[in-house]
Amino acid sequence: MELIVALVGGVLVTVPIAALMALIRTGNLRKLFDYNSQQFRDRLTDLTGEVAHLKRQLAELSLRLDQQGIAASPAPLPKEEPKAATVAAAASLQSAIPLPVPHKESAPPAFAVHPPVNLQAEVSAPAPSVFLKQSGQNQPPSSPKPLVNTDHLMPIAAPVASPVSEVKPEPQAKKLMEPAMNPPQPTASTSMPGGTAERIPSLADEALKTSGWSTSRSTAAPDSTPPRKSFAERLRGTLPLEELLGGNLFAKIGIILIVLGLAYWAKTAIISMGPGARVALLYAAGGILLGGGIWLEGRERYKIIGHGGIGGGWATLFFATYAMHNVRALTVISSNPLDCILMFAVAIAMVAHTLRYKSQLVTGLAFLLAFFTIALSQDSVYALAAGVILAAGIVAIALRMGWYELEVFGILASFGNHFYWLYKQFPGGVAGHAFPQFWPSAIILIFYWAIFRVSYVARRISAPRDEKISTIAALLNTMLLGAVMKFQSTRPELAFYAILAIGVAEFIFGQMPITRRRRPAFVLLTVIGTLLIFASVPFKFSGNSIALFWMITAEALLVAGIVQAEVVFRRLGLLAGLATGLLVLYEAWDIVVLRQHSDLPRIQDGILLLTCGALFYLNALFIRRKWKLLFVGFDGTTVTIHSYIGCATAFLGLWSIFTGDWTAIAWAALMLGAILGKRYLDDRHLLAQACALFFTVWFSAVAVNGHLSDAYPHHITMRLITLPIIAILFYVSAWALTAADQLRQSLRSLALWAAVSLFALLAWFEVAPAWVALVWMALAVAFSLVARSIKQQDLAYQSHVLVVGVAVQLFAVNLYAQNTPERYLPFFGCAAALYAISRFCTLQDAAYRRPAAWLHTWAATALIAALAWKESPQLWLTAIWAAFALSLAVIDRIFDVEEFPFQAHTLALLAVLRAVTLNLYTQDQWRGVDLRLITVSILVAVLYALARWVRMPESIHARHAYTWVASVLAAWLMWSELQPISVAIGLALFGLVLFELGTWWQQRQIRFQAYTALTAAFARIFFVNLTAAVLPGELISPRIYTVLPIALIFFFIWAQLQSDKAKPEIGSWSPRDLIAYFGTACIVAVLYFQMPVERIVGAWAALALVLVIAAWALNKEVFLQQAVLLVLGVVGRGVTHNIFGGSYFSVDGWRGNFAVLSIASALLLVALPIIFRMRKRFAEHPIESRLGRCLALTHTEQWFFFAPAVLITLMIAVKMNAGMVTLSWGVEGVLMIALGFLVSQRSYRITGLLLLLICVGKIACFDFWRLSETDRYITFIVVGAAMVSVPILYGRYRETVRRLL
Amino acid sequence: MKHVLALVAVLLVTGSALYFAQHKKRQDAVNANAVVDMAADWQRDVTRVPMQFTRISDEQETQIGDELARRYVLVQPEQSAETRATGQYVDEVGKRVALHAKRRLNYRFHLIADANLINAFALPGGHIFIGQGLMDQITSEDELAFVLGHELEHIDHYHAVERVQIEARLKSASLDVVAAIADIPMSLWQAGYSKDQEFEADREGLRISVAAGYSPRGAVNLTQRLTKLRREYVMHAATPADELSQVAIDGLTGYFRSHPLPAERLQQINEVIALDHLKDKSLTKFHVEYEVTSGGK
Repeated sequence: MELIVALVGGVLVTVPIAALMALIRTGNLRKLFDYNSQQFRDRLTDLTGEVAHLKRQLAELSLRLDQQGIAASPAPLPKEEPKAATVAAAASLQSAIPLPVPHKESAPPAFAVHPPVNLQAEVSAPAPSVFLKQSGQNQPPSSPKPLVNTDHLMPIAAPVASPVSEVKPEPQAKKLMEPAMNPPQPTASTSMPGGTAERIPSLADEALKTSGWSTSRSTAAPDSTPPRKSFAERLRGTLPLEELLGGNLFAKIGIILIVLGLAYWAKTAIISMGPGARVALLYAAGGILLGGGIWLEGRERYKIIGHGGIGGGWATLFFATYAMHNVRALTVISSNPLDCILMFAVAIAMVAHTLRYKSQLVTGLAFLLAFFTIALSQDSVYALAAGVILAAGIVAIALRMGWYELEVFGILASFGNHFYWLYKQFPGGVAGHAFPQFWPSAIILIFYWAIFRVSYVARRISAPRDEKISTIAALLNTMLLGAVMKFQSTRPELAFYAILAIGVAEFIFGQMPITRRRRPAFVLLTVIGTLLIFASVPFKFSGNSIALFWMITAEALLVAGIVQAEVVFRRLGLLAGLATGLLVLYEAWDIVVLRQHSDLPRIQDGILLLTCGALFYLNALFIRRKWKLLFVGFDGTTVTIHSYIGCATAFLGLWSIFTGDWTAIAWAALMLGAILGKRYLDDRHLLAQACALFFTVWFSAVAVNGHLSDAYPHHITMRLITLPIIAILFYVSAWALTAADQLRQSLRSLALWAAVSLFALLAWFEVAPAWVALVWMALAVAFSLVARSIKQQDLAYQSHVLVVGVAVQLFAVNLYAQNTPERYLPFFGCAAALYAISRFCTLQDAAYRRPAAWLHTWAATALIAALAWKESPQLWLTAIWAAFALSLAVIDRIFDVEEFPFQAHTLALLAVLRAVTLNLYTQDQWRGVDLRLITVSILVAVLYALARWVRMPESIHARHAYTWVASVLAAWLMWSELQPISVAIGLALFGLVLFELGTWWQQRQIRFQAYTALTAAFARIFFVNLTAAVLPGELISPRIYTVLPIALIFFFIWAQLQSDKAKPEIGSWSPRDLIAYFGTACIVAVLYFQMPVERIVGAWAALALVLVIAAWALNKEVFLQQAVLLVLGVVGRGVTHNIFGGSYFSVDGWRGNFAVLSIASALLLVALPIIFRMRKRFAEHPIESRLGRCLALTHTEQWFFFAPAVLITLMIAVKMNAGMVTLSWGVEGVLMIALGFLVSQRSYRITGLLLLLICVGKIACFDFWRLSETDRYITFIVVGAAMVSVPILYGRYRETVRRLL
Repeated sequence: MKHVLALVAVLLVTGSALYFAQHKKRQDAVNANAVVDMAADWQRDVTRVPMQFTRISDEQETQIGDELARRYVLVQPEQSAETRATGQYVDEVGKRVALHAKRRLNYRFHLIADANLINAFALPGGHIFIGQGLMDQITSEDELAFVLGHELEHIDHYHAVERVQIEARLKSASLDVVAAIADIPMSLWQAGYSKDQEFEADREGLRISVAAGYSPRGAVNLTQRLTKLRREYVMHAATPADELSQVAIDGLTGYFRSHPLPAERLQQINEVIALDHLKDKSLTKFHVEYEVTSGGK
């Protein structure tokens, strides 16, 4: 337990100290960063100067060469160098380095002697390295050869970064020329470290930018910019994968293994050490750290690191000393005193040593360890005295050196140390029990507090950061004193006096002249003192006395602050008032709880709350207005909060006094007061409070005054009295809120809505349900007329809402009324009223008056239609509605009523829905005739008549809506009459007929209906045809004779769409590809369901081959798309089903693991020759469709190669005997490489190489360890032979490979 | 003219197909089985990919299966003497068939005395349950052997354990996991397997039942009976709306909806008989003997 406490105490002490040290270190790091930044800037300036110097040298050398006639003669060209490369290289150079204009005349002769460049050889030689190497050999920086190497050599500033400061212009001029005459071989650059090559160009590039040289490619001439290489080309150029895999990679694997072995050896070498050796190791580590720190500390650039080393070294040494006795695994001495002495000795030596460096970090570390030592051995009061001495020492050092961070650490360590001592005496706390060391302990604590407080008051602050640190120290001092005093408290009843005394002392400290020199100290101590004085009150008093005491004190402080113009007092007063308000609100929560179950008035509490509310409003509304200049910023915000607290306290006060039905009225009065206050005092916060009160009032009025549980026929007197009163108060509030600002307008609207809601609610509860609609309708009519009269928009809106309510009420109540008058009178009365006010329901100039009028007539028509629905026979309603729609359409054509066509459309739609939901399913008969046929036929006839007669928008497409519906109904009838398995064929035939008619009549919408029917036919097969069983005696599966004819129809229509007459149907889109997909999908689906599950993949592969042949023969891209998609399906199906999803117990033969997949793969590979032929077509006619580009049809050969490759590879991995997997892969890899050579496909060869690489990895990681002897032997031999055959192949086709690369 | 001729030809072909389909008195059910089967097969295939890497040992599988069986057996009501005798008979037939399974597990066979349960199911580890309802449909011992062989092959081919093996593998089949897996409701095991797995169980179940000395005609007879029963069982919608609602509410539970079509199963059985040259034998009579004691139990 003690160990845990010690650890926790240690953590509590060390964490803040570590944070403090981190803070210090951060400051030091910032200094170091600034220093390094300055160094870098200086270096950059030097580099800039060097660049300018080099440019001058370059100009001089060029001029001299020009004069001597050397530059005019070209360098000898190697015979094997291609000339085109030279030209391209020169062009690249010119584009890469646009020389400054003043140098332009002298520079060209030097560049005219560019030696040719072997670009092929430079692929593996980064250009900057070349140049650096040359520079290292004192070659001229203007040597053009490396600069010629174009793209990634663009950091041509490499010469700038070379150590050219050592170049002497004159004496070395001839030496510099020699390499220019005899250009070095590019391969010489490979010895240059790449890291340097990357770093230096970047610096040089920056230097060039500084000097005005542009290295950007964008500055080059557009016509000389080399074409941008693709990523694959660059990768191919920079990473010769084939050569790499074929040559070097395998050897490197062994090296990695050896390295891993060495690592394991290293791991097992440190295990067996005794405690003495470990302690010695710790001492040695500490000594190294310390010695290294001392050594580094002497060097300016590493001083910070040296300090850390010293601190860490001492820490390690101290830990070692501590661990010699206290850590079990390291125990070497058994005497506790001896260990304490040693720890003290180390601590003293440490302090003495670290002070030499005048480093707060080092000294802080020393004190930390000293406190820690004391904490470990503090068995008596002497240890606490040592803590006092250390604390005094820290204060003295802090004041003298200005190390105020150290003082923070001292405060933490002093109080923490003291607490740890107390905790060891009383682990559960003193808990009111007296103990003999109480007074010495208290005195020591007071002493701690006093010396740290004196230090805080007496110090001089030179920087804002010091003030912040000091503030932390001051706060910690008081907080830790209170915490430790609380822990050792023996008489809690004296806490009031203790806290009051400390508060008064802090307050007095704050008012001292020496303190007032520093305003932060004055403010901090005054605030601390005031807070402590306030905090002491609850220890002595309780209940409302606290609120009264605090309120009085707060008002006193506020008045004092105003009179003396002292912001501290004023703010303290405001904050104290704020705290008082929060306390009052907290205690007033009892009222909220009480009101949940009791309406008993609490007059005393209400008066107190109303008093507080009045005082807060006094501060917020009157004092603030009186001394406006004093209440800005924070003070203004605080006093605004006072206003809200005043509102809350007044609200609660009214709730305390006025209960039940009167509460809402009282709150409404308060809301009205707030609104009036806003009107006359112009305080916007009052309006916000009024908003909040509004919602509360409305909610209370509905929930309480509405008496929701008592409806008609019960009548509540209080409801009849209070709801109108509240509504009137809302209306008065709305009157008082007349203003232009948005918030008041919104609140006024809300008030009006609240009032009408209360009236509507009253009608709802007090009137019989059957007549509520009529009452509301009357209200709506009245509101409409009043709104039109006084031009009040809100009333018009309320009228509309009431109309909606009327409609709901009619449909919900009156439609199902038992009494006929209660059905007919409200319906017809309301319909008449709606027709009557349809043109008068809005303001005259309302923008929406036309839609509103429409809506009213629509509602009237809907009421009549609904009544017809209720009263007419079920199946004939369809015909009634259809006839009603037709009559409306005819009336519209005669009288030109603009709403009627739309109402006719709606009724027709309803009739259709009625037919779809009811008539189509009935099997009733009328006079021996199927009623479904009669009613639906009538409907279809009416629909076609409407398509001709009803007034429609100009678009011809709208008129086809009726033909669409008619066609759908016809199809539906077909669906109803045919057998399930015949529906798909019927729909397909119907689609074919529609398509031919649409083509004949040139009606695109009819063709669309055909496409829809064909789509439905396609979907239908998935619900019946594909799962249809073979009946006994059937020779042909129903899947075949019902689905394949559908596919035939699809392909016939697709062929029709290929003709020149066929035009795109929607924009540029034509459904022909989709139709072709449907046809193929039918076949694919039949294969899926008809074939045995193992052979599906083979059947699909065969179909893919057929599709490829079709694409080649017909020259249609769509079949190639389908082939590729089917290949993906083959891969997915093969991998998931045949490879991973097959039986665990494999069998040989046709249904076995290998036959189907092998055949499928072979079928896919058979397509390759055709595909390679088709590539020529794509070269002449690129793929245009988006799907074709997505499927990369120009590289279809990749699909048809990689699909079987994946299948075979995975099949081998999963199904093959484990010992033969690597062997098979090796053979497969070699075959892939051979195929790649045969068809000149690099991707095939790379795949084969990668597979061989995987073989190598598998051998190293798996086969070598787990395979049986025989398998391993065979695998090694065969795979080795395969590996050997690869270089042979490459040797044979070397020229081919180079040409293809 | 070519167009007209082609159109006429297409109309003739499709019209003939329509007439041919409409002419026959078919009663094809409208359901989403095609889509569901495809989705289920693909889902099953995809989910079987990790099965290759999460195989658990036979001991762990047996542990899980025992716990599952213990819970299911405990909820069975007290059995009559006839039921006990029938259960013992089932166990005897099953053990005879199990001798020819590939995996050497401790196979145990249980009868669930529920006349409405026309189903049988298998649990991992070797427990096989058959419902009294299905027993009522069986008329010979050969048919029972085929049914038990079918369920046995679900265990033998790891179909049953695959439903729990990933979870068990991830948690190393600890006791907590066994308890968690044992909370799986019995209906999940009755829901059947994918079409492919059912075919495999049919195929291999027929082979081991024949290897145990039973006649392949038992499998044929039972499957023919199920085909007939299915025709009576499946509802046929009268209107398109009925079809839509039937498709919508058609669940995956139930014997016929979780298994392939009996006609397809029958076709495969006949293929296996022909391929393996399975010889026909006389059927063994369904034979249960039990003694009625005074307690009547």
